[in-house]
Amino acid sequence: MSLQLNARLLTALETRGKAELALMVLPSLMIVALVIAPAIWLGVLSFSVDGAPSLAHYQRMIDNSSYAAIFLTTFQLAGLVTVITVVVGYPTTYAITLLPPRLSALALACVAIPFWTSLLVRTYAWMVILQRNGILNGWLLDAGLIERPLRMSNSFFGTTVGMVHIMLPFFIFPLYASMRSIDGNLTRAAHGLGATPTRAFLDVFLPLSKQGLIAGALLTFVLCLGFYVTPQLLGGGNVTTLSIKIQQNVIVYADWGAASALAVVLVVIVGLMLLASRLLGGRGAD
Amino acid sequence: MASSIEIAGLRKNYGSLSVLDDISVSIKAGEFLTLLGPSGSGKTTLLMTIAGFVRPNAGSIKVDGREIVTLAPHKRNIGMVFQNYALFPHMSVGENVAYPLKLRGVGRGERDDRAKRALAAVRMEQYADRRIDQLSGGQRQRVAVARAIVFEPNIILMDEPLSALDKRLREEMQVELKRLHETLGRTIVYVTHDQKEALTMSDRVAVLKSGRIRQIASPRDIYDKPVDRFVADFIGDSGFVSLTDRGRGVDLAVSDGFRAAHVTGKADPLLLLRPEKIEIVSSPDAQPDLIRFDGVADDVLFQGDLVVVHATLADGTRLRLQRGTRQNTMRDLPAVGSRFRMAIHEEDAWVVSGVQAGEHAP
Repeated sequence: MSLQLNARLLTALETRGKAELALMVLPSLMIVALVIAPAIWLGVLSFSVDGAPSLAHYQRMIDNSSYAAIFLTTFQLAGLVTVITVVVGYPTTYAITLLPPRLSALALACVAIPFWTSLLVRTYAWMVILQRNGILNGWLLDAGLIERPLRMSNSFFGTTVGMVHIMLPFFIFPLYASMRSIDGNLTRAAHGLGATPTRAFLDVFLPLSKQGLIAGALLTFVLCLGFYVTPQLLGGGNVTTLSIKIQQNVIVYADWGAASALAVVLVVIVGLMLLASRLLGGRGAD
Repeated sequence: MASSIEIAGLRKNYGSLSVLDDISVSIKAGEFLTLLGPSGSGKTTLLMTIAGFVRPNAGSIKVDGREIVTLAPHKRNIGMVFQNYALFPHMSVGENVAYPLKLRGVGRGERDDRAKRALAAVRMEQYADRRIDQLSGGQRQRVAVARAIVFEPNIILMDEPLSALDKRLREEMQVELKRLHETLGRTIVYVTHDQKEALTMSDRVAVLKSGRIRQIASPRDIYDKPVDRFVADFIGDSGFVSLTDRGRGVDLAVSDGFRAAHVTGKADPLLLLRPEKIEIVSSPDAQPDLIRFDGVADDVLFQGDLVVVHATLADGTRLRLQRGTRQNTMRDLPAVGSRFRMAIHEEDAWVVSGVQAGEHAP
């Protein structure tokens, strides 16, 4: 009797397991419909002109020299922003890990709060600070350090400053997590074995935080490559990045094929970079 | 070469909490000294102070007569084995061991030679190229020791180096570390909370409580002649019977000589009864040097190599006694629930004061 009951209950549990699996069908379909299908559609668009298969969109990128300049600007900007973010972010993060728990929580909150503020608001704030008759120019003029206002907004410089500010949290949070996982006894041990504090940092802490450093820098760089709002607003038309060109192709020229081709190239570049970092990082990781 | 360490008046406070309270101890060159105590007793803080990682509020630490208390850790030339080994995961076993030599500017060839010799001393020479995460706990422990001895420091500090190992490996490593101490002849200061480990390995044991050294003595003296109830309790199993409070039903007759030597002058004298020192008296023949007492057997537990009897005395004191399992001993065991007579030889007996220095009697 009870064996039969058990068998019935076990079958019921199995059926329930299948039902739970069925619940996943709808979300899966939504991902296909909203993410995967449009991406494929864009990919297809980039290989066609007026409905016929064509490589014209890719050919244009090679023939038209203005595209080379756009790629160069995009990579220069992303590279410069990443370097500055690393140079500013690494010591900041290290300092946060050294703080007593309460202060380090406060410091992390200081990093996180701007992160939660709208991107647009932060970019406009930088416009207010950097513009011709803005706060910074005002101070510099009042202090007598400059005679005429500096041109800081609507430029590569302004874009770089704004983007570093926006990227820092993306760099600091993963790096912080990786630094916290380093056993504090290790630098202590190096110190005890005869290393000066600087030497212990260079020989032990820096190599051990390298993984987090690379991951954070890569994330920053990749985010920079496709960044739109800040270059558009703080660049003031003087900084043309890939994302801006994509937007122009769609809005100004209504050429979805050309826009898609740029997007595809960007995706491929990012994909290759992630793959390369994986192959390079894989050696040290395990 | 081994160095002597002279510690005097060492104090460390964290806010109002006193972690080291006027510690003074002199450690002879080549000695194996163990700091033993419960967690929070200050033993690790004391070790870290010698290493230089903790700066004391007051006091002096002299190595071979030279003051080092203000010296940075990397200038002290002291080898250290950390509790979780603290091996560098991004370096190979060989690189880990050679690291202190690299810091001292030793050339590559000599560095490799000496690292190999240090690894050989802990029987790990064939593992030089392994990564740290490929080693077992016991192997890591050996590498940590090799790294601490490779630069031939005169003093080696060890912070519970065996606590992460299983019992069997721990006992094996105890013997090995003791042997290593004999071959190297360096001064070793060792921290543990395992009393058996302390007794096995040390020349002397210092028992700490609340930032103070309660007793420092040879393992035998610490075990057989503890200065107070805390030390007796912390080292080994112990039962205590009051020698003054005769009204509660236990009448312990001790000889006048014993009373004069051990009891007189002690406040609230307690007879210390170690489980293996208690005899079971089967025949009523009167030996003069026996202190006798009666109890009821609560249970008799056979454990293979030992048999353990829990007994309750007339005043409610619960005792544990243990015997070997030879046939003649087994025959004399009391039945559960029966009343039986126990005794301890006066030469095995020890009396501690129930009133702790600086504390009030309960």
